[in-house]
Amino acid sequence: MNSATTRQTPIGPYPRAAIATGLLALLLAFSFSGMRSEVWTALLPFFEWMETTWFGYVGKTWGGAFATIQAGHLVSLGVLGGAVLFSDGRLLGLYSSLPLRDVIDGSHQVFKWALAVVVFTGVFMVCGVAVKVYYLPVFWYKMLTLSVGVLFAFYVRKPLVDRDLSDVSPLVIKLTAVASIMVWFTVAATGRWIGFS
Amino acid sequence: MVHRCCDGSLDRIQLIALLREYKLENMMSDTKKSEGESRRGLKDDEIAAMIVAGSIVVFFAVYWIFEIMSVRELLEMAYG
Amino acid sequence: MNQLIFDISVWLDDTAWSTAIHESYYLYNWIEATHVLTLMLSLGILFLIDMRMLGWALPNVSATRLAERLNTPMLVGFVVMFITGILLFYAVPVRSSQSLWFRIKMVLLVVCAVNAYLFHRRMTQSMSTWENAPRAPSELRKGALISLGFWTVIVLCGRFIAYDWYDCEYPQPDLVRALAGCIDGQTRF
Repeated sequence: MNSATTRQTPIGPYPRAAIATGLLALLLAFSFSGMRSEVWTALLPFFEWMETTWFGYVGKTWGGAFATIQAGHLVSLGVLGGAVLFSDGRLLGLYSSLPLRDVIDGSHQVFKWALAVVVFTGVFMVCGVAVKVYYLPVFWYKMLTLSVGVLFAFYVRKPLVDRDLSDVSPLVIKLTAVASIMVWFTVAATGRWIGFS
Repeated sequence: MVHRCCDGSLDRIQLIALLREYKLENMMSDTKKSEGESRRGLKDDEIAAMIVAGSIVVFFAVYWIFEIMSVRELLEMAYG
Repeated sequence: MNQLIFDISVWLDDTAWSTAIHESYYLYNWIEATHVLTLMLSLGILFLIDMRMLGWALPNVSATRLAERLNTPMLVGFVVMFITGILLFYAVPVRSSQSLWFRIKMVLLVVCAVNAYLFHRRMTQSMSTWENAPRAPSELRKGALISLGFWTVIVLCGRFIAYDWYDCEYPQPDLVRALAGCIDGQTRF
């Protein structure tokens, strides 16, 4: 019996494909045109404002506070990475004696909480060094990768793994798991790279 | 030859049976439709996951290869 | 004791490889990045196990089976962290050995290792009675809580090592000097 969940999709397949293609074209036009530098220049006042906020004041004044929040960022990143490695490792066929559905659902709960803490502590840290990171290309790589990771996790990976996985092609499952691991590894690595810049 | 007991009653019974048969057919076609929709939904999610995940894997593989190459060039420049 | 530690650190600092790592363009950064990124493997999985024991996560997964299956990748992560940690110490041995935060970190690592050993022993002795329960027995929950707390402090201390608030080259209170192992008249830091 097919126990796959049925979802009501308000937009049909052809309009969806057209919207996705349109968004992709927009993204490419943005990336390779002068729009990107205009947007970047327009963001400077916002980053200067961030340094004047309470978070920015605390981060700049007390190095200990900044370091403590950064340690919290590291711990929650560790937990996020653990949840990703656990869940995607299971999708790749590791720890096969553990129940697949419970592992995926349980890991996702942990992932959500860890992501929330990572983002909160990350915003705090950026406020402390906002103008410095504004001029760092690696910061923008991290933000881009983080955005891709979040969108991928919630809008591509989750709808797929919420299904009955026996109906899904094993190649697609493994490809999704590998992509997820690569994205979050890159988020962590680019974050570490900011520290070296 | 059908013996009609009460006027119209056999017609009503036939009508009820016909209605039940019609409802059953509709229910079966609805189930088939929703199974079909869910299979199409599954295929959509699969295609989306394959395209996006494939793009991510290819992009990051290329990105890290270039990063490693540029680090090697930098080290060669620094140490000769 | 502090003099012995200082002498060993100076000897290590004088070795060619220590200088090579310390002055290398990228190597120290790569070792440190590996040390930090492996947190996801070692600490992330450890925290998942601890949270399961406390009933905070993965309630439908058998706790003991989870701990058994995740033991190997977690240990691989810890081995990598141990190796990179030794290399990081070896690159800057004098400052590291005289860092208050480094010393606290080492003490807590030993405490966590003992806690892990006791936890594992208690778990294997009692697992048949509670493995599918949403929370582990109270003794194991205490061990999990200790693990979570102390590992968080270890990460904090690791982050604080980079700061020079309690470095021996600056004037410090006697207690800090004693705990950090500052040597009177030392010429190297």
